[in-house]
Amino acid sequence: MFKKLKDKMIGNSDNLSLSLVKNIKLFKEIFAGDEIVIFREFNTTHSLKCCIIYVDDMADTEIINENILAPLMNKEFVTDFKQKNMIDYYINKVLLSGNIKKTSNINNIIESILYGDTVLLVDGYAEAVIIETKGWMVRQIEKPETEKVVRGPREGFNESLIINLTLIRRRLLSSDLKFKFNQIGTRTKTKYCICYLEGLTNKKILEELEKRLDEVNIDGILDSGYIQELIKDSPLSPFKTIGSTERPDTVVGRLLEGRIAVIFDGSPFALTLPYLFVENFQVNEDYYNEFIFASINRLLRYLGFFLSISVPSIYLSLTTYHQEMIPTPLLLSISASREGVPFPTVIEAILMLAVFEILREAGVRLPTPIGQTVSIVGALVLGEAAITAKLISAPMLIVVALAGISSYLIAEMMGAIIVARGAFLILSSMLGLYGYIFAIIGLFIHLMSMRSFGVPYMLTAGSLEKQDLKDTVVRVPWFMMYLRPKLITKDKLRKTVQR
Amino acid sequence: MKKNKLMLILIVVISLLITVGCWNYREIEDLAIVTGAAVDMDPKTGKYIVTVELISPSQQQKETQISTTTMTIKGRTIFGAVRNFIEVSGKKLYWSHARVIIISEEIARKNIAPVLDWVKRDAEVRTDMYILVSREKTAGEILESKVELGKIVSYQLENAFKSGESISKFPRVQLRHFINDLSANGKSAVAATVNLKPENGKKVPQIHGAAVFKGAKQVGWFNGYETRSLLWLRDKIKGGALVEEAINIEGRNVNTTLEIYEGKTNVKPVLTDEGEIIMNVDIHSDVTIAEFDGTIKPSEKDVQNKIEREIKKDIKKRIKVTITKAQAYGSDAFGFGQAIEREMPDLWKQIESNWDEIYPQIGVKINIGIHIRGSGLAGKNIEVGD
Repeated sequence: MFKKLKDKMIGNSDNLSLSLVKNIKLFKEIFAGDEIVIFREFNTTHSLKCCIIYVDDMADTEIINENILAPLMNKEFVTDFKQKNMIDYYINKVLLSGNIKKTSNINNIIESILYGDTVLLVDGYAEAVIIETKGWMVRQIEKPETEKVVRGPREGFNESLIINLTLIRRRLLSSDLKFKFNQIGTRTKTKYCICYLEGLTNKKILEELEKRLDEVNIDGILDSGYIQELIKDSPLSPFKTIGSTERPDTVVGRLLEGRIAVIFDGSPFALTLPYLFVENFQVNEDYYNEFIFASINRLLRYLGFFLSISVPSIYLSLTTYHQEMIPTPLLLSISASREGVPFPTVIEAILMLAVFEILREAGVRLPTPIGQTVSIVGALVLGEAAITAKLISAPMLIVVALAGISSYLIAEMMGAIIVARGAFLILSSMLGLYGYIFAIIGLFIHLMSMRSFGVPYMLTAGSLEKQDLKDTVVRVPWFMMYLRPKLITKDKLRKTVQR
Repeated sequence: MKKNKLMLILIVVISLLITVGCWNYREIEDLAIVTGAAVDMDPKTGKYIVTVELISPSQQQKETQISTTTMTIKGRTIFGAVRNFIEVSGKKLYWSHARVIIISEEIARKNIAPVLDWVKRDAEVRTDMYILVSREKTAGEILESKVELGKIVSYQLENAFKSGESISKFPRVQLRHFINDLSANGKSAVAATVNLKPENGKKVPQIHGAAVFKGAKQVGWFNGYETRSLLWLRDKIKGGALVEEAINIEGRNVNTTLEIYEGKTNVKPVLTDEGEIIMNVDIHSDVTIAEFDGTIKPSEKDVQNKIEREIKKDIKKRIKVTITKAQAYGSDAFGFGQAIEREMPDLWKQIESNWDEIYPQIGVKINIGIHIRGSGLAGKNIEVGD
């Protein structure tokens, strides 16, 4: 069914005719009602009728005027053109453009027009010339908003595919770096590019990726997030099995580990794969800072993961089931602050966690001045007042705040953490620490069962081999890291070896 | 098919959680937290009178105030009394944070075992509580003595036990050790004793001395000095403890305090040619002079030797007195029987059944090695000028 639909949408099987008038009529029918497409008819110096078709503002009019119209209309050609194919002549001698090609495929022509190129039709020829004139406005290269660093390159991707590719290429001047273009989305026809390092990348993963991308059937994508969701393993899991980053240096770092990157036109987020659980805790800055500081930060992130999923449920199970495990002075102060609080501890915890998530979501997209109001209202009014009014106990507020703040250490996993935290909380509210242990076991079974493009998600998590652990919980100094993760890459040796 | 299976698993899990979940769920503020308990006996009815010290935390604005109340409940058994508490307050007592248990002398003299049975059996009560015998008329009045507003009597007693290492005038006996000793052959139990001491018009609890048991019955008391001898013999005198004696040097009694660095006691039974058992007690201790009231310089070697000699004599005398007293009570508080069992198991099998008759006649040979390691920071005594 979909195939039929696809044919109908793309299905222009007509060919160009020899008559310019007919061709123009054909394109005017195709673009009927679309007034942004410009048809400019003119005569060359030799009175040959021509027409260029382009989309206003997608194509750079300056290039069109100077490099297409001016030479065609002004230049005195050498005569004796009757024996020659004028189109070849124009391509070879007249038109000033680096990227130029001849085609008779109507679909190609339509796509090129819509992508900002200019098409030249010449009377008497059933072929058209596509001249690259892409010239739309793009955002400047800016600091990436979501992945700020103190130490490290400050460039981030923008929405232009080509610019993003140059950002990668500039960092990786190897001829092994390959770019493979394709397009996706039956209507948006979004261009994308698969980047990988020949010789490092595991070919099977590459084939699998291409297979999955080919199978995608969607009318349009507006961000790489669509694809991230469509082609990932364990599609219902809250954990990411495909990474995304806004930073070219991160992409290059992952390419060097033998991973593959996919960049989509119109999205500043590149996808990288395979993506492992440990990568949630790896931040590009870890590799730029000295290794001791980086390792401390790594450990903090693991601690943050543990705290943010466990603290509310551990607090809950200790205070409602296992009071004997709380040190006496702590028990007394918790007991004192719980005095007069109307809600059971479970309800208190769920309420406060919900409030925290509300505040987070409310603050994310607001303009900065209003955002501050949210934090003041949230922190002071809700927190302070709720405690003074004895609606919430102070320890619970501390627990929730600790859990919430720790989850920001690993912002990559925010969704998974919220889900896990909720599940942990409910299980331990019903079974105490017993339930908490069950939740931990369940979490690990889930993580262990996942794969990312054939690579186990928890690769190296169960390993005690020295080489496997060098870039996990800690980051060892660079001079000690000479192997890449073996299942991902074809060539394990990281350091250059003379062959 | 797969979907049905999943649904089935889901239903099983959910119904399991709903039916068996939430067992033993209690909110923390609904607990009546017991910090310590005292057990008396009503002489008329023979019922137990249990006095518990409870914490009633409260929070005014931002300040947490912790005050305690005591409540008294009667019951035919201890657990019965504890459960009767619900009739009075509506809350169940929570025992996991109780730190001391005080037994009245009356119960101790009669039979202490029934009182401890519930404590040992119940899962909530911890056996690392400290056990005390009251020297006052009732055990309850110890808990009722208000030390200071906001102070918890039981925890104050517990703290005294925790830092009791450096005073060595009462045995630091936890309930589990007490119960072990109670059921052991060849060792009698002892427990610390507590009394009320008048202070600024109020009465404050004071832990001092020990109660000596024979079997499950208390047979007598040890005072502070005797308790220290007891601890020497039980090998419980370690670093930090003090020995203060008035020793006879320079022709008069000079007060001397020694602080112990290291202490080690070995008790070894020896069978003499005549077939008598003699306990060989070897006490070795490294000490330093903490206080010296004399005029001669304790930093000099010969003076130190003199002090050592005199101190040894004193300690030996005190230990002898203590052993005689315990033998008179018939209580093997030092664990001589266990020492024989350990060293000469065959002999112990023969004498085990009539150990009660043998023990009072047993001879003890005490060998004390006190070694002064230094005289503190001062080389000489304070010379008083004009």
